[in-house]
Amino acid sequence: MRNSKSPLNHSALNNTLHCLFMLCALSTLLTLGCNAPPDPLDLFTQGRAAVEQEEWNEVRKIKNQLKEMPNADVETKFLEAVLHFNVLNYQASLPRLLEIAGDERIREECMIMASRIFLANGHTPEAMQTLSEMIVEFPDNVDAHRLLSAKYYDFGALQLTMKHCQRISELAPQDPRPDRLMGLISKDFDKNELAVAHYTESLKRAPGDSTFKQTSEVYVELAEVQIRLRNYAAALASLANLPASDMPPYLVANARSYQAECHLALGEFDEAQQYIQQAISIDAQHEHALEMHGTLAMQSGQTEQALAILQHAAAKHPGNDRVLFKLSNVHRQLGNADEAATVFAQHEQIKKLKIQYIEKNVVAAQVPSDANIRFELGKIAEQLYDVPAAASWYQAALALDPTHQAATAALNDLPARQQSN
Amino acid sequence: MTSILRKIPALSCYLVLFSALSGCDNQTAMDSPDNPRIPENPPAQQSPQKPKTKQTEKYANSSAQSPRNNNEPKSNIRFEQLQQNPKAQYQNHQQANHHTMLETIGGGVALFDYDNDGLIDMLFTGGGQFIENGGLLPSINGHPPVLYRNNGDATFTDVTAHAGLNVQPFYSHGAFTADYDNDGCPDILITGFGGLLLFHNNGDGTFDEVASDLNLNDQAWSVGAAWGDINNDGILELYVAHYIDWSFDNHPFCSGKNTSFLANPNDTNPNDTNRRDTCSPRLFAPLPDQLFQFDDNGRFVDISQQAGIRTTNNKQYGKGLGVLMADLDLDGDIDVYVTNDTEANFFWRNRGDGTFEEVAALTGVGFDNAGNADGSMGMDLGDYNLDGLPDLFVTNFQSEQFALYKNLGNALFQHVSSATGMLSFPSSYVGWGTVFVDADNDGDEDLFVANGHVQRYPVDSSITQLPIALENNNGRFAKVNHSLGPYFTSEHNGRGIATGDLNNDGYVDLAYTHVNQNCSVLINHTDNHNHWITLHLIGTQCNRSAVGSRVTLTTNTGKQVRQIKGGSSFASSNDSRIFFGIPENAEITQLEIHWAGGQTQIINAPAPNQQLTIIQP
Repeated sequence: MRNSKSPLNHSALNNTLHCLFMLCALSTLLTLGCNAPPDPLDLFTQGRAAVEQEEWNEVRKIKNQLKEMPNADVETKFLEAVLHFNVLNYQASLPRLLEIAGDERIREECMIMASRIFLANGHTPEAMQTLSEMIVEFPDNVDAHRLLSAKYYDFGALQLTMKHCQRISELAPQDPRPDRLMGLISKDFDKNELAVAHYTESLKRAPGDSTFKQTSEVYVELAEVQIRLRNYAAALASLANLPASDMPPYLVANARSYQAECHLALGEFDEAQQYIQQAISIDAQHEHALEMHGTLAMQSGQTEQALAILQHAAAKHPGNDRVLFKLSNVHRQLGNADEAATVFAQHEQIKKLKIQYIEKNVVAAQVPSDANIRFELGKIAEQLYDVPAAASWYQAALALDPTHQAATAALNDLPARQQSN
Repeated sequence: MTSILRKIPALSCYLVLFSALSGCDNQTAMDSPDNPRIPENPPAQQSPQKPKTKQTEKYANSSAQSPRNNNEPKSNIRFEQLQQNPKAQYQNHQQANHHTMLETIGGGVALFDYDNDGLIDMLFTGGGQFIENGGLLPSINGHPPVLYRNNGDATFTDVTAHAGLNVQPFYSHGAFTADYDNDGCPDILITGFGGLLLFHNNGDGTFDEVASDLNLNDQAWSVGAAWGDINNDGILELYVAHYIDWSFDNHPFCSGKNTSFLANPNDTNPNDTNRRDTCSPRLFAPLPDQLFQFDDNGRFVDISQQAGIRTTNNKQYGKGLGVLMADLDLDGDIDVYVTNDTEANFFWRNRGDGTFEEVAALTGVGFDNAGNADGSMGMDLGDYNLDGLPDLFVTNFQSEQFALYKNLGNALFQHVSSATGMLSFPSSYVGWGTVFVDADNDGDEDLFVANGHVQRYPVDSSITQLPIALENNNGRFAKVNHSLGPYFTSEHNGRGIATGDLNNDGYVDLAYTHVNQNCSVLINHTDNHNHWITLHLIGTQCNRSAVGSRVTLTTNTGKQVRQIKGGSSFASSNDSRIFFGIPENAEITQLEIHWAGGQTQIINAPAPNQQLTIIQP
């Protein structure tokens, strides 16, 4: 983070606001005893309640009333800023927020809205700095922690993501999201027992949050971790919790391929075959299902069939080193020594890249502000044929350093390179 | 949460990351080799058939049956710890808190008949300690091994001092027995940090340490070793696997801090930055292995280069822990398989002339099923599917699979762990010694594994772990710990295992070693009506230990094949006899012995439930 104060520097505004309040107070005194116009403070309270209720006409009406009052400038500007923010007119909203953010009554809201505007405008460093200062002043602001965790996750700064998720989990004890994300990060870093604990907590909370629509995803991710821990019975039980319908096809295919993996490991080849077929019927190019299909054929001694399946899988998923290794083994078993050597070399190359990728991921997880390492991760992701990840890393690099020319060029050229591949 | 759920490849295959995430800052005098001494008037066949059930009772503790685990199938295999279990204890001196790599390895056990009285004796390696040096780097000393003589009545007597084995100048690990000078008395090799000890058996119950006299001056850190005759000249060669270049001069600080953002919830102090743990072997360079041969003067010479096992190509340096010498491809000569820690394993295939080619990757036994090099420790050779081809089983580190490589013939293997039940238990085990043994004499080989962690602060695992007992059911293995007896339901910091028939009842017993815990000697109390036959092969044309010889037992229900192996398991040596279990209703029709070197001998319809001592014709 840059070593400067945020645009919402509290102390810089204090003097101005102090004067403003003094004027307001004087004005209030002068009008006492007249026809008892509505109290601006009462009106402001009503206005904030209307904001809370998202009754925007009411907000607008109260804002107009306040505007007519000589001593309600801060209150008026706040409601104006909110109204503009609500219709995504950030250009109009931000100056007002910056002007009034010194007011203790509304500082917390101003800071969070300003942060959102910075993020929406691509001013990530400013947003991150504002949010970082905000959680010092308002350590219990769950929205600030949410924004920070999300952005840190986008940057691959997973150490900080976990920290803020943990805080969200404490501040919002009914929210299943933070533990889901912590489960995902733990899973990605092979901290499997920890991942199970987080996913289990997320699933415990999910029924109480009607807005959380990712319960099925959590079950599938939990099953993936349980498979890694070789707790196949638990994995199958997790997958049995999935609804019979209303799941996105990709998720059904993932679930079926994991069910196949469980049955394969349990030696139940017929069941494995059925689930593989179900996965492939949904997505003929499903990476994990194809890998399981090839593995099953190998384990069943159907070497020729394994060859065909794994060749198809390798063509569709050239960044899958496991598929390449199995394919090289099948070639070897069939006496295709040259092909085996060629594919094995491809496997070695991909594996080497993956190790580099993982090592750099670890560094990125611990160094939240390094744009270069994120650019390098994007380049490796491209070599691993993972275009979405590459784009994500380039974007992360640019969010940290908008002037990063190499990242800009790489991101711009990505569609063309993807097409040429 | 609108963030992109960026997918990072699963890290389980890449232990380097494990280190990084866990905060590691790094992370004889021979009588005459040409004229082996054979006992005068050796019995052609002797049948010391002994009833099993009564005698074994003396060996066992009476202990309560552990609660059944309903998730495990029931087994009738039963082991009980020897009532007067030896007190031998491998000590790694971790209490000195140096957190050295040395402490992670542990030691082994050798089961062998050192005094030729027909009873299997036991030798346990001792480990070592660190001696503080007043501000200088600590010095490293060894604890001597402990030799127990089998009294034949379920008791053992410590005869270490009398045998002259009360010597251990270096921190020790493995014990490897074979009759290297073909004099009829098994000798002992001890591996460890800083040297090798070779104890020549004088035949009178005593040993002389002869390593230096015989020019066996290897000083590199060794754990695994094996004896085998690579050129079928009747004289054993010695393969010594070397581990890594750790020393106190190369001893980085590796944090036991568990990283604040991914700490184990059960870890009470995960963020203690001063907390130290042992490092990953990935931080250290591999050491080259060595192959020794006797010259015409009966002294060892290093033939690593001429045999092709050491080249200038660093790819052929591993971090060796286990060694097996056996005929893996059944082409009539001894091959070498080496388990390497965090590096691809080696399969040194004998070209037939005593030179080797490394073919692990080409043959499918170098990696796991995804092409990753495992942290491999122990291994054994057996024929789990009774197809006559020797299969390989390799124990590996936490999160990796124990690897069962099915022999497809023509020196091709396939990783079949998932199809054979090797994934039916959790991934938290760190496996070490392992043995194929037909524990219930039902005609197929079961598997036993010793487990224990190397780290002080393991994640998703524990330091002490259950051993694993896997019963073979038609080529698929099922974990059956809860049926087998109390040892298998309690956790240990296990390392070595060796098999042998300590009471000659035809049911094979087990000896386990642990780190900083007493060893466990387990007597086989399996109660069934199956039969057995035990073979003691004595080579005359081939090496006297008959390493590399293969026996096919044919019954009216099928065939079983066994080899006499050099090495195997982890840092341990098995009773060198061959054990066959025979199902209750089966009858032996033939024994076919393929002696090392090619000679074949047929014995028709031998009676079951006996030990045969067979001298090579």
